[in-house]
Amino acid sequence: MNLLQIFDSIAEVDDKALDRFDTRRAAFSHMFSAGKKISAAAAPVFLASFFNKAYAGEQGVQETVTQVLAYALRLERLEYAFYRDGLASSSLALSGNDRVGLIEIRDNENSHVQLLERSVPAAMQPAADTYRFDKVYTSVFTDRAVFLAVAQALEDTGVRAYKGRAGELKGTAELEVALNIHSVEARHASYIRRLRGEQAWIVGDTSSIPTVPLPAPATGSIAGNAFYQAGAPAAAYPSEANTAQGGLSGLYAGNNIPAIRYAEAFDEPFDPGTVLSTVATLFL
Amino acid sequence: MNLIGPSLLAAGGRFAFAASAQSGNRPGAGVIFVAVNQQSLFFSADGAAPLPRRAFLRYAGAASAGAALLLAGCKDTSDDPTNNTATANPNGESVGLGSGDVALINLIQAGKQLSVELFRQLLLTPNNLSLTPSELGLLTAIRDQQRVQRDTLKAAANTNRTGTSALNIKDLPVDFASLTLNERTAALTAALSHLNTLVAGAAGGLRYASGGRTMTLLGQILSVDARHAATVARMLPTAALTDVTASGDARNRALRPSETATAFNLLITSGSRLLTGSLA
Repeated sequence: MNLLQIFDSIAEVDDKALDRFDTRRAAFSHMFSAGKKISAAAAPVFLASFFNKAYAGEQGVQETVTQVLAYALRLERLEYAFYRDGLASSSLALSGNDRVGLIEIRDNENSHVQLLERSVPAAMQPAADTYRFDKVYTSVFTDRAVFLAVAQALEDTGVRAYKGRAGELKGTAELEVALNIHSVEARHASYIRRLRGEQAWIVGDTSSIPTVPLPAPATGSIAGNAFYQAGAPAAAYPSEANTAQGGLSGLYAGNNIPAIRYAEAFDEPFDPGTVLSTVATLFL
Repeated sequence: MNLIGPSLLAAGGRFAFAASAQSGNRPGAGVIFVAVNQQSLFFSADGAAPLPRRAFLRYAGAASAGAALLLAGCKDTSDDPTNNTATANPNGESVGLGSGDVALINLIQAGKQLSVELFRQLLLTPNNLSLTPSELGLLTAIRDQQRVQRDTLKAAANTNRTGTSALNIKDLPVDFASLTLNERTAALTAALSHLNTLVAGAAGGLRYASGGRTMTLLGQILSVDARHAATVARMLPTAALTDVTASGDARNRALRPSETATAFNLLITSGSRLLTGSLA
């Protein structure tokens, strides 16, 4: 066992790790003076105590986790309210596959809201928002095509939003929760896109809604393709037209697969600032 | 076990204090530290109750990462992904995935090899599957996107290499004897099942990722796999849109890397299966 390799690896997961240990020289000092006395069998227990000490009482990680979950809660509440109101609208009158699938999706969103409300302490939960879906898209609760177009935008944005913050949950149990909500959102997006006769995945950075474009909002100037554009900074949050994921470009040369497949095969992350400003402008 | 390797002392200024403590330059301080920390390492300030381990252990991911790191510290050369001459174990496993993020990338890449071949074979007999032109187009696009993801993961594994040798696992010979790929319901169900394994495997594996780039790349693929799964599910009259752990809990299933590899191994020829022994 190479202890340095372990510390290096931990530092990759937690960039504050070395500082944690550094400020606890006492622990190190103890460790070194006791080192010769520790049997190989006892070493894992000793190391566990050592890491417990280094991490005990550190609030920074938990604060970040809570902030990410609170952000997710706000978006999930928005989505739930959207489906709730759409399904309740008698003039929209969703039926058949639309209704069956959208009821399941609404219930999934409600489940996500409940899960996140259990995970975020009450004092840290975002204040309830007031939504104005039909103020911006005036026919959203009367016209099926508009309703589904907005639903698609919300789901695709949700997928990108979770992806944009997954890195902040690195190494925590909450990462898995977030990823498991996130993939359910992607299934929703796929289902709604198919209801609309769309491809199930995001095709480039256009609005990707050729037959029924998202109408121009009644207020503000956000275009229908805003949900597929780059975030800020664009290098970290590229548009959905990106074909160079993981810093790897030009892989499509000579393999008889169109470049657009490279854009389709990867959903891009979205930064919280762009998500919140877009969502707030349109729906809050 | 070399608990205090010489490399630690050679790590530069950050660890310089360790050298002085060990060489006894500050014997007095050393004694005091030992006295104080014998308490604080194992007990809380009042000296009675154990440290709040939950504060650390609630980050189950971090705790598991610690376990994985301990494994990484004892490197097993049989896990070398480029060692293609290893003798298979009694479970027919011989392909090591490597360690760290490369292992995770190779694991998902193995799943992509299987999905590319699965969709290729499935599309050999589109008439048997009674596919509409629209469905044929969707499944063809899925096949191509899976191939794109496979090739990107192959390239990504090699960006982690330190030398010139590739870190990719070999091309895996598939064994689809357990699948029926020329009949609509059975073929689409097999495809859906494999896509669901990929989604659950990435979600349950990413907690072991340490690099931001690995997380982003696998996360980008994970949601597209979920889109693919939902697309195929919609072609089956009774298939569920989601793949959740329990009804009323809208979280997708997650699989540990060893569970994911075990599921993949059902579709790989015995002798070339993925080594599962050292996976989390």
